[in-house]
Amino acid sequence: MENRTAILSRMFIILGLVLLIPCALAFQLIRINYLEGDGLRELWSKQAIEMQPIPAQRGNIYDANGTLLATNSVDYKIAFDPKVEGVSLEKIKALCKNLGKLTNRSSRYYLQKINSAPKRSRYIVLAKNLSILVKNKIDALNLEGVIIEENYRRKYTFGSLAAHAIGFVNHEMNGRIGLEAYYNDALKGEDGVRQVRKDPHNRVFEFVGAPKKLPQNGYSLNTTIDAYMQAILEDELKAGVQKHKARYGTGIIMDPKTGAIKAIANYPTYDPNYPGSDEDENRRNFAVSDMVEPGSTMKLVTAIAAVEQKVVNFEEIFETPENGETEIHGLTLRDHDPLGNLTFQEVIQKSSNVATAEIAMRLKPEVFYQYVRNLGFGTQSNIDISGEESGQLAKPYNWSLVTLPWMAHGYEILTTPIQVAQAYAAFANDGKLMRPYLVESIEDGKGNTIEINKPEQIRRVAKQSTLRKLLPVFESVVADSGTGDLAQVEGLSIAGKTGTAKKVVDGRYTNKYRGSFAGFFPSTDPKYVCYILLDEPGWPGYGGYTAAPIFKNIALRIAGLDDDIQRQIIEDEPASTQFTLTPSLKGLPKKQAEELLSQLNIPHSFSGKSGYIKEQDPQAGTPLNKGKRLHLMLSETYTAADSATIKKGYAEIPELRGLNMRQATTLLANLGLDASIIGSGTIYAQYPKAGELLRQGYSVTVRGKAKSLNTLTQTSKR
Amino acid sequence: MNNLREFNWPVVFIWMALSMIGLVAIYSATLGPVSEFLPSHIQINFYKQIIAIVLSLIILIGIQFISPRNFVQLSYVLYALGLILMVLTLFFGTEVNGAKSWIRIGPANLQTSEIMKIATILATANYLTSRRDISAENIRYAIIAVLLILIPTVLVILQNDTGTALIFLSLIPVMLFWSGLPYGVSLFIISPAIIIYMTVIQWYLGLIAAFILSASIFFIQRRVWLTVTSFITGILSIAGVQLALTKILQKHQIARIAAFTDPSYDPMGAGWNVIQAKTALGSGGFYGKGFMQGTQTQLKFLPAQWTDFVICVVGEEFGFIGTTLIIFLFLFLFMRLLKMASNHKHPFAQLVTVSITTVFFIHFIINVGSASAMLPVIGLPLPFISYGGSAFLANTLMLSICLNMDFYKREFSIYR
Repeated sequence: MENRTAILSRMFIILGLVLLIPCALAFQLIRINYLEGDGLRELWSKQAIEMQPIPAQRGNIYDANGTLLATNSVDYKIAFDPKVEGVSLEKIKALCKNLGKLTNRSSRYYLQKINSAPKRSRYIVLAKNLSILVKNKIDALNLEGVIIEENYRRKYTFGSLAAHAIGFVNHEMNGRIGLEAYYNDALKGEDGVRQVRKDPHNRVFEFVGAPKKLPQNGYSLNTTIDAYMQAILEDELKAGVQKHKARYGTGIIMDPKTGAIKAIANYPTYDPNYPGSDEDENRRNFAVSDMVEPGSTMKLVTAIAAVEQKVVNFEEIFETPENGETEIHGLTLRDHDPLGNLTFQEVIQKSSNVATAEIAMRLKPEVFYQYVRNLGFGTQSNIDISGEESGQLAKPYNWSLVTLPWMAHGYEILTTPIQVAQAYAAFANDGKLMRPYLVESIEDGKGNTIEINKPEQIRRVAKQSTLRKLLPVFESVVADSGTGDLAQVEGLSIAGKTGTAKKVVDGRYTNKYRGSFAGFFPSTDPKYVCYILLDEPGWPGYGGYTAAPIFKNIALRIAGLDDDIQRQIIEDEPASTQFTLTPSLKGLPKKQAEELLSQLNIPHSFSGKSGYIKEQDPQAGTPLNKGKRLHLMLSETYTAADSATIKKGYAEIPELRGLNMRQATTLLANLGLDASIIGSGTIYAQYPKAGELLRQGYSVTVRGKAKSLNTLTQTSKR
Repeated sequence: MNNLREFNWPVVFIWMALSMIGLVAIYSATLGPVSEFLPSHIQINFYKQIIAIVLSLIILIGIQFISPRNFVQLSYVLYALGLILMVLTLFFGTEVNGAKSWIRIGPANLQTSEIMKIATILATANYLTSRRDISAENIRYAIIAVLLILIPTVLVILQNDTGTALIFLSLIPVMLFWSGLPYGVSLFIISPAIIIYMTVIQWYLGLIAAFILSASIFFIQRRVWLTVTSFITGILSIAGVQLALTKILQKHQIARIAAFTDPSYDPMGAGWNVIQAKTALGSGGFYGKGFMQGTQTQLKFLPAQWTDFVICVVGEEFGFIGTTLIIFLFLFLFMRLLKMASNHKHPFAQLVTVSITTVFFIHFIINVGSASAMLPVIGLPLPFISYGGSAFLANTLMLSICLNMDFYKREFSIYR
């Protein structure tokens, strides 16, 4: 029995121990849960929430024809995890050898990298910026422990093409300007998330499993930009800026019917692939962000307001002072040249500030303001590009007495180039002001359309009839006697307006200018509105001299792109490009003939010393191949044999087709004939015909080209 | 066959409950979202465990048809067979996690030390209880008994399985104490373990422990030489630990010991396990994060989460409630087993039951202690819960033996 109790007491000791130790364990568990719990939970969440984004592919940007403008290039990073099962020394050596071969480094270099890594490291970066070729080869080796990571980089296929429209991305792949910024959310997509464990030095120590969330690639943009037109615009803008030594130039090409931007450019530009390598200023999109006094292009508003409010009529004659200066409320207003007496059409055509101011002052400021406002000035056009300014337009109650006359010709108001282009587009579009836009549609990666930007009419700015009446007026600007005659394109009807604004520097008007030209073509059925602005071009900085030729070149080249326009030109004037009609030079003095021919750009040669033209080869009115020489025979005295057939007091009507109005009028004046001009631009018809005799003092009717379709309405009116 | 109502059903119930908890935890730890980080041979562990449980159930039932006398008779044969297997393992075994303790038999890998545990317990118990006086005060018997345990211990150490070696060593004081070794001497035998543990935490704690233990031995035994020896042993233990920590042990071993007292010592290295295990337990809160919701588990922050750190999986996903349930189930199991032992009239049955309880107990405290940062990380599975076919079979076999002897205790008591 004693034995039994001994064993029992031993029992209790064991029991005590058995109870005691698990109690200690339970106590420890309580301690972990409640005393250290918060700290441990924090540690847990910290290491559990160590998330790293998996970058989503940024969406592509296409032009209107589906050309890829912006995409991503990928390069690869290779890292190594030596702790993965199955890694052996031979395999590491094989990896290093292959990497060495593919990257032109010694395999020792990579071995060294692996060896010198911290002992527990599971993420040793071996090489970066590798091409897909290297990646594929390393992939093919199928080695354990090799980690291949993709890095996306934004790639702009055509470098600086449309750089300002597209914009660029920063190192975090966020758009900074342009479409990249405006559509950043759509383009960016949604990054995926993966969990990583990091070591105390914040290096990635190990990837923890499959992605928590797969990346959602960004949407693609189908833009309205036409890469060809964009290239033309940039090319011509560059040439123009360089030729005129301008500080910078801006150009916009827009479809007036929809508001779609076909091209938008600034020069100097930058390469969005390397946005940091150019000056900051080059990255600014002046087309939407530059607030400038527009100058005479603003006369469009005055003209629309005046005609629609019926404060002018087309027959009215405006007398401008002899010295071209007038004083309005103590401020002197000048024309660029004294212009004499002008019809309303000539006011616009010759860009008379004095007369425009006079017309504008017939309007109430509120009414004029309403037109300015309606044409889109003073508010953002809401183009889908970042960085747009709204310009500055004071409310009429803040206007001074001179605000109205000055605003009428483009001062005391700040506009952005896109606003001017938008206003001219409204003019071209029969008064419907369209919102300019750059993105046609947004697509996801699988080709499903996410969003479509439909053309959006903001408002009607004027009656169609008003604008129809004004069209010939603005066409005349591009005619020979207009300020924009350098914008003429043979066979293409163009309406537009030049603009020359004095620049304000440090609050003062200086002798620095901004030359601009806003116009559209074909004016019969406008397809393109184009606005060109040069900042501080060299003397003379007139818009007609600097911006208009750029416009002309652009129009010429776009006409070459656009089949419809091309067909129209060919129909109108089949010989326009290859042929010119030989002018009639008989009876002209040598000097005058020479002048005429050099203006027409026809190579010529003379036989005989001086005097009057006796004979010409080929004969007047026959087509002359471009580059072919025109031979002229001179005689000392104007005693041509055939002149005998001409009755005294009569003159033989020369061939006028192919000449411009100014040339024709001089020619006719020399013959003692008058000219009656219908339309403007290149002459395509004349009455009576060439070769007929007409009594001196009578007039020859000529029809200019730039009017084509409207000729009928015009003549019926007259 | 006895009346089935006398069968110890609660123990079977606990066995069932623990193995089911184990299955749930193993499922979460290997087939949850974490499975994508795991090789396929780990992912099938859940199914292997089910097979082990089914086989164990067959064994558990099968054993009940054997007379307990067979254990006595077969003990030495088993012991010899076990030793042969152990030696074979040393030569032909396969290595898993650095320990060469597995031998391939047909389609299965067998951990021979698990079998050896049972054989050693049976043989030593048979030896000690077949002496006429069961007292271990007879020093010769005591030494032979210790040798019986030490031989397999050495083999296990040669197999490089320190954890299991600790189990064998822990059998020495328990078996000797149960066979009548005086309290003081028993305390003297286990005192170095306590002193070393305290010294690792802080050297002066070791010194205090040495004082208290020596004093206790003096009060119990009133033998000066034993007290002096015990104190000297204590001082030597402290010095030994200091020496080991500075001179003898490898760097990674020191790191492991240091990490248990201060996990921030090497947070990415040895401290990693401790930090992650504590974080798992601590972040679970009271109710846990839910089945297969624990980030520590599912993101594979936990090391060996289907074996040594399986309690952390339960702690994270089922919270404090889950871990407490496990602890209570084990406590219940230990009490039941000890009650069985006290009901036995035959010392062999008593000794075997107590020894088996000890094995479970040491497994339990080392496993939970390691996982909850009370002990340095020593790789031992949690009985019936951790994954491991051999261990599960062997543990069930041990439990079955206890149940069997309990079931036939009346027959048994005749023998002496």
